[in-house]
Amino acid sequence: MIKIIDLEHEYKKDNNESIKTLNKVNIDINKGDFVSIIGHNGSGKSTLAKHLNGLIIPQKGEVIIDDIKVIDDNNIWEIRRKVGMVFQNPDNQFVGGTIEEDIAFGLENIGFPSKDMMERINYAAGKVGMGDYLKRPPHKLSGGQKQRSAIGSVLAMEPDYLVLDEPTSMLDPKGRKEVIEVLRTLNKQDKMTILLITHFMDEVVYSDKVIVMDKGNIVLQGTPKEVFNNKKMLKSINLELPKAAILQEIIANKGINFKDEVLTKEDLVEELWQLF
Amino acid sequence: MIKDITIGQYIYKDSLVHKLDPRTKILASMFFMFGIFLINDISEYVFVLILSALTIFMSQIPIMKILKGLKPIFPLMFLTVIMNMFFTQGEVIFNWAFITITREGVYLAGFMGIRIFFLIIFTSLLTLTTSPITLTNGIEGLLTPLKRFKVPAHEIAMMMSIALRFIPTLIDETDKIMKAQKARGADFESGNIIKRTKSLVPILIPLFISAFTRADELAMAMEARGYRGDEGRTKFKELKYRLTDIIIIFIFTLILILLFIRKIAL
Repeated sequence: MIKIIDLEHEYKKDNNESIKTLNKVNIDINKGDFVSIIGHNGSGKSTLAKHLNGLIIPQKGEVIIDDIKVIDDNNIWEIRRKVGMVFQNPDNQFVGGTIEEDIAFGLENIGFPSKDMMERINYAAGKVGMGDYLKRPPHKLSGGQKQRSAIGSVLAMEPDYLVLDEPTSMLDPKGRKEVIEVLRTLNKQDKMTILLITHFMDEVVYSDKVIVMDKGNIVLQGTPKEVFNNKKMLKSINLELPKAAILQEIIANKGINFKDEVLTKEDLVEELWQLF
Repeated sequence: MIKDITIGQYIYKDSLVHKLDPRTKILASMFFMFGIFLINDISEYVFVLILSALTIFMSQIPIMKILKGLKPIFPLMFLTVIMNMFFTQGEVIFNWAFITITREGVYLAGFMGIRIFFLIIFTSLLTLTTSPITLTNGIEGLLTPLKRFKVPAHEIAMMMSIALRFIPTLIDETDKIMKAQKARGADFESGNIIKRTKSLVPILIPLFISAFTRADELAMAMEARGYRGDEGRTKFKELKYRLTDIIIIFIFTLILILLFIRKIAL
């Protein structure tokens, strides 16, 4: 379980003005959960993510991963094995010359036995559907494929938690869909705990819990339905609703009301066919 | 267009030479380089010719590919030949104005030309039969014993492999920046050499900035995946000397020693 207690973070700008990027943030993430954090640029969500595996050491407050407190450089290696991280730019996190070398990079770092590596690489690449591309160099892959193999590279190290910092923001719609599907399968089939940071509303609708951040504060927290019921609040911080919910609103303005709130395409279809 | 550029000139073949340990190939090439500067009579040149021909044959690399590698070196070869021909002291066989050619000069020039020729052929065989990443691995392997003398073997190899990994990415980026600057009216093709060099600045500056951003993000991604130098690190592809490697190293060492003895004896 990940516990974040009263976490604060601030940094100084060049003119000595200090800016608070996190303000008294409290979050609990249970094993097996799919949690999404959503917010605009500068909402502090990336800073929060970097706290989770010791890339930033807490200035104030606590980050506790399975009873291990992130305090200093001494225990960050243990924490980095527990919390795997995928970043935004698919190119800038690809270390190896090919997919198999990239997956091997993380394994080499943790001192994984050489003779078992190939087996583990095949397993991890298979999990993200990249098993057939092991010998491909990154410039011969699409953005979605690169991001999937980045997830595979992290999975190979068998982390307990998977943190993804805007993994889809540089991808085309097709790549975005691929990545989200991989994450959903991992969460459902392998009970992988996932923390997805994003600014696309449509990606958070499948999660167990949504956390909305704005200017370093958590402004909303709850299931997707609970969060999207707070339409006013979301609009006040300029966050859009998922496409299905927008459509529901438009239809409601024409005087046709659905029985239930819709968030996903599937919900929408379910409501629409009942109208006729 | 520039995206499809290949790094090095590695050609994959399932040959004996390809399968050798990269360290063996690097060592053999080094011994060959030393050896080539020890030889000085026709019979030894014939021997080197046979050795090279045999290696090329076993590597299954088409001969034309190897000869193509000579092209960029040709000016250097030509210059060496000319220099040796004109500036060697000895028995004069031709004299016109300030140009004198000596018998020794002609011999030396000829030998030098042939030496460089073999040198290039043999070393290009190394890069033709070894993928860049394997080559990096081999260099790391060979440098590892020098760690005791504070040579950062692992860091050098890591830097080389990351550089190789990012060449296509940066070429791609250069292409994009060039198009973007052209769209803003930049002109890279006209004018004299100074003007054209100056016009590269608007490409280089964005390229450098983005390379630094990449480096920063890559460093963070590497750390997040537990990278902390070569401390406690295992290797995905462990290098292993096989019987053929030992035989090859033995043969090349023997050749080098014999050439050395002959050189001293003569």
